[in-house]
Amino acid sequence: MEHDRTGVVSAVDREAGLRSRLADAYVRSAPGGIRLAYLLTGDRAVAEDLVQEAFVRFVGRLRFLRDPDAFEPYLRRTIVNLSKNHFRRRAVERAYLERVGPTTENVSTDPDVATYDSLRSALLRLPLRQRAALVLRYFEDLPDTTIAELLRCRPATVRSLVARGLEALRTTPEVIS
Amino acid sequence: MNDTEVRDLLARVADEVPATPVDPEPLLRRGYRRMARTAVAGAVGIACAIVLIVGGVGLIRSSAPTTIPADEGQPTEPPVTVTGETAGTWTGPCLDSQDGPPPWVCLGPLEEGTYTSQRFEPALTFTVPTGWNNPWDTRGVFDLWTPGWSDGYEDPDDPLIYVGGNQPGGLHVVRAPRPGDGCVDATVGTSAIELATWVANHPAIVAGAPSPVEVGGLTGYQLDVSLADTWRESCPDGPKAVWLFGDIYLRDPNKYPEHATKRLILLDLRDGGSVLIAIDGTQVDAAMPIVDSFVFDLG
Repeated sequence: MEHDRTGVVSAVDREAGLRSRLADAYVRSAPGGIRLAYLLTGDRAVAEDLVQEAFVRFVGRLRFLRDPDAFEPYLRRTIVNLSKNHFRRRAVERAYLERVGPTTENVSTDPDVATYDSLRSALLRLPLRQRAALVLRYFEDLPDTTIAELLRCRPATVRSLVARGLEALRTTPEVIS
Repeated sequence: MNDTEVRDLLARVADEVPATPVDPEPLLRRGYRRMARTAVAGAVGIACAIVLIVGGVGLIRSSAPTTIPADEGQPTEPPVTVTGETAGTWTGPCLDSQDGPPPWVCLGPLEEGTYTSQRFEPALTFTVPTGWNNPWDTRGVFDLWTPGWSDGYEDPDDPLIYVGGNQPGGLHVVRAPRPGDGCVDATVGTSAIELATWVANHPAIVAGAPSPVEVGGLTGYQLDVSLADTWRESCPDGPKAVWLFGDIYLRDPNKYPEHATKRLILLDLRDGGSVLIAIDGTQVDAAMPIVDSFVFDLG
């Protein structure tokens, strides 16, 4: 009987420890995840929603619960997938980008600010896969093979996505001028 | 815009998000509730399935004859063992974005010898020297990477020898190639001569006339192609380049000489459709002996 009681207490302790580790993992990874999601979606509220949803899904999956350290790569993958789903589900990417474009143009007469605004707008106008490839390579510093896994394509496709994304940024009028 | 400027841009955009404290507790509660709901739903589903199976079996038994006629109920042919999916499979280096369920099928690094693809249709038998690698084998695409492959793209110290599509080096075999990547010319047919003629006449491409060829039991046309100096566009967008078939494209020879030329071999399948063999121009000498060893299983 005493052995059973010890076992129960031990299980409770383990559960509390697990929750603590999960919470720590979230506190540690969420800010970076939100920045990544923001780069992919261009919308801070959506970015926060995506990261929260990713965490809830992580907690809700029994097989991950034993390894909170797996949260960060899981978070990155889930953010990319949820970003795609976000745009696909609502079918508003094009409308969204059209909406974003005018609001971010001509907001300043300062040439540096104008160039930044123009580049930012160009970045957000990129097709999601091109933008994701750029962000994952240059912001997350991931190798092409990992990006290919995340985007479910071949490394060669990652390179063409990056090349096309870069070219689109280079052809931004302010950059050319 | 160079790499550093892209990094700066992304960092600056990301910095638009202020660092705010996050509270995981509400999310933990949501996660645990979701897990509980999932567990309950799973249990209910399993219970329903058991009930249905038990009920179905009972129904079948109640309606089944009590004796089996002598010419019925005999064993059928023994199940066919599909050895191709498992025999010789080495999943370690397979690119895991292949189609189909894992484990991904590929032959991996190859010793000198003769091998047969496991998923590509039609099955392809080939002979390679030591060092080649097969990381990709699907129904539609079969890749062979040249020895010494490395993934260090745009690294001047890297030998840049890996195959397939726009990747320099080696062999890329594609079933049912279709022109373009987002700019498909619907008027192009699917036969080897139609595809070869489309390539040869493409304004972005410098190519000789397609020459008849026979590979592995299939006939078709071969042509060596490069990007025309006069070409300034890209399709559908991006840098000076031309997308030919899916991932296979030619790029600016002044910037990417390893992507600038290709040998294309287009073959007609007997039941219609075609197969493309694409070889990076820098690897033709190494790859052609392997192509010459190709034998397609034409059943």
